[in-house]
Amino acid sequence: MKNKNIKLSSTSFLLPNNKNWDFLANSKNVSFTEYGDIFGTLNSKEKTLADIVTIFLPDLIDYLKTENFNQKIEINKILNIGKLIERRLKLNKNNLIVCVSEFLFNNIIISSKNQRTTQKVKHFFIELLYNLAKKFENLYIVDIDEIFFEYGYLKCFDQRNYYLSRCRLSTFGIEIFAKNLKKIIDRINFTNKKVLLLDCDNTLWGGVLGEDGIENIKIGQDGLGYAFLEFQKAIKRIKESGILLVLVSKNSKEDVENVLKKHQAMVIRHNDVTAYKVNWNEKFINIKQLSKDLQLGLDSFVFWDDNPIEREKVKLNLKEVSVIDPDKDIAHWSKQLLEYEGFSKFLTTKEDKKKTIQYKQRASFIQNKPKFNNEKSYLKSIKLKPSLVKINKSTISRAVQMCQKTNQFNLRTVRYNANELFEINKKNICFLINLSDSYGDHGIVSLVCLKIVDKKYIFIDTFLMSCRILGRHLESWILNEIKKIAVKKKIKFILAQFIMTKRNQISKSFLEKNNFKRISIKKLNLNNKDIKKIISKKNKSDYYIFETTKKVPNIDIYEK
Amino acid sequence: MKNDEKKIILALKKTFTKSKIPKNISKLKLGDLKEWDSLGNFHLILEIEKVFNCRFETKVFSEIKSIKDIKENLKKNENR
Repeated sequence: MKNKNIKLSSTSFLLPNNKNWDFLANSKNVSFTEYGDIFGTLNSKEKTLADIVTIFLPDLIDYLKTENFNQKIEINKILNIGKLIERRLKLNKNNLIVCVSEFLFNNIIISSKNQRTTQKVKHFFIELLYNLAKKFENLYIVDIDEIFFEYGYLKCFDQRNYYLSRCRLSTFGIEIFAKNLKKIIDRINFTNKKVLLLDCDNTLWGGVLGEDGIENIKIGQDGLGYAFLEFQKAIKRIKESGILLVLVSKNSKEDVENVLKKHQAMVIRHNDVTAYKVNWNEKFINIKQLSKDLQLGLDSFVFWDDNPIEREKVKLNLKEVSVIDPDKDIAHWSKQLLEYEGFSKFLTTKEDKKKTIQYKQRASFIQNKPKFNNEKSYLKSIKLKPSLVKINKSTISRAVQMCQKTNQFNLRTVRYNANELFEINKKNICFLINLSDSYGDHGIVSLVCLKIVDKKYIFIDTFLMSCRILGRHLESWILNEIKKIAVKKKIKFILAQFIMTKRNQISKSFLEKNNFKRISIKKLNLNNKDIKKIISKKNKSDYYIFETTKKVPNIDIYEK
Repeated sequence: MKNDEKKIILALKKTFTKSKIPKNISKLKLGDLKEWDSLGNFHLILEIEKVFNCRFETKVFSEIKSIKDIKENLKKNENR
C-alpha cells in the first residue's frame, strides 16, 4: 500500500482541528507542522504521500511599505525559499505541493497605474516554481488566488481569523482549499478516466437527427449551434489529450456516420471516434459490450448525455461508470467538460496522442480473430514485430506513465517515478518493448526490470504490459528475452513475485501458463539481503520460479 | 429557545470530541473542559457561526468566553 500521510505547513496558521480539513483526507492521515514552520516540511525526511507548503506572500514581504519598497530584498527572500524548495526536491522524493497566494488588497486607482508589489513578487515566484517543476516531477504548484476567485475571494479569506488566531482563511476558504488539494492528491493516487461516452441528439448537436434531418440539426456559427460547436471543440481537446471518444446513441448508425463524415460544421469527425455504439439497445448493454471490446474496465468510462432518464439508467445498472450531470445551460458545457478532473492528467506523452488509432487497431484485432480457426496461424499472419528499447531521456516519460497506470498485467505493481527508474536502470537490467504488427505501430507497450540476486536467481522486479496488446502472446516473447539474458549470465532460475491487487489476476495466470512453478519463500534460500528485503515486504504475495532450461510456450508465433 | 440550546450542545460536541458535555451547559465557560482552551474557544465560535449561519465581528468574537456570552450575542444578532 502507498503511504497515505499528508503533511501540511504554512506561513500562517491553518487551524489544524477544523473539520473542513476532512475534505482533504481522513484526519488520521493529515498532520500539520507548528504554525509558521514551512521549513519543518521542507526539511522533513518522513515518507509521506505528499507534503503541502502554503505560502501567503504578505507573511514574507511587508506589502504595506510600498513607498520604500525594495524589490531586490523581496526578490531575494523568494530566491532563498526557491533554493530551499529545490534542495528539498533533490533530497526527498516525496511529492511536494507548493501553494501560493498573493492575498491581495486592490486599490483600483493605484493599480491602474502601478503594478502591485505582491503581484510582482508572486509572478516571479510562480515562474520560478514552474521552472523547477520542469526538472522535478514530484513538484506541483497551486495558485490559491485562482481557486478562490471562482468562489468569491472575500468569502474565502477572513481577516478577523487572522487577527484572532493568525489564520488567513475563513472556514469556507479551508473547505475550498482542501477540496481542490484533494483533486491533486487523487490524481497522484489514481489514474485518470480513459473513455468519454457521448450521446448524439441534443448533446453533440442540437435537435433530433431522425426527425429534423441532417440539414436541420443545430451545429455551426449561429446562436445555439455555436454553443454545440464550442462543446465539440472542447471534446476534441479532450480527445487530443489521449481520451477515447465513443458515441452511444439511440439512432440509425448510418445517419450518424453520415453527419460525422459529411456535415461541414462538425468538429468531431469520423476519425476522431474510436467506436460507434449507435443502435436501439439499452445504453448500459452497449457500454458493457464496449468494455469487453476495448478491454477497459467500466471505471475508466465517463458518460455524458443530456437525457436524465438515460443517465439514471446507466447510474443504476453500471455503478462503476462516472455519469456526468451536464449543466442545464449548454453555454456552460465546454467549461464543465474541460474542468472535469477525471480526464485531466499531469502530463501528456506522445503515446497519448496516438490512443484513438491504437484502440481502433485493437478493436479490429479482436473482431478479426474469430475468422481464423487456428489462433496461431492468425497471429503469424499479422506479422508481429517486437523490439527492445533502452530507457533514456526520450523514453522515460512513457516508462513512468506505464509504471503509474498499468493495473492488469503487472506482477508487482510498484509505482516508480522517473528518478527512481533512472536509479534502478543504472544498477540493473531494464528495458522497454516496442511492438508493431500489420494493424500498425503500437509504440512502447511494456517495461521490464531485472535484478541479479546471485548465481542462482535473477529476480523480476518489474514486468508490466499495456493491456491493449493482450492476446498476442507478447508476454511469452518477453519472457523468452529474459530467459536469454539469464542463460547468458549462466543463471539457473528466473524468480518472480506476484503481488495480488484487485485487478492483476491476469499476471498470475501468465506465470501459471508459462511453466513457472510456485515455491515457498523459505525454499528459495536467498543469500542476498537486499533482495530478501524487497521481496519479503509484502504479505499477500506468491513466489514463482522458471527454470532456464525449460521452453517458453507460444514463441513460435514470433519465429520467422 | 430550546432549539437554540440543542444547537449549541451540538456545536460543543462537534468541537470538543474528547470531552463529556454536561446536561446543563448554561454556566459552562472557557477552561471548564480540558479541550476548551483559547484555541478550542476559537474553534467553538467558528462552529457556532456555522450552526447558526451567522458571523460575529472581530470585537464581539474576541469577547466571547462562555455559553452565556454566546447566547447573548446570538440574541443581539437576531434583534438586528
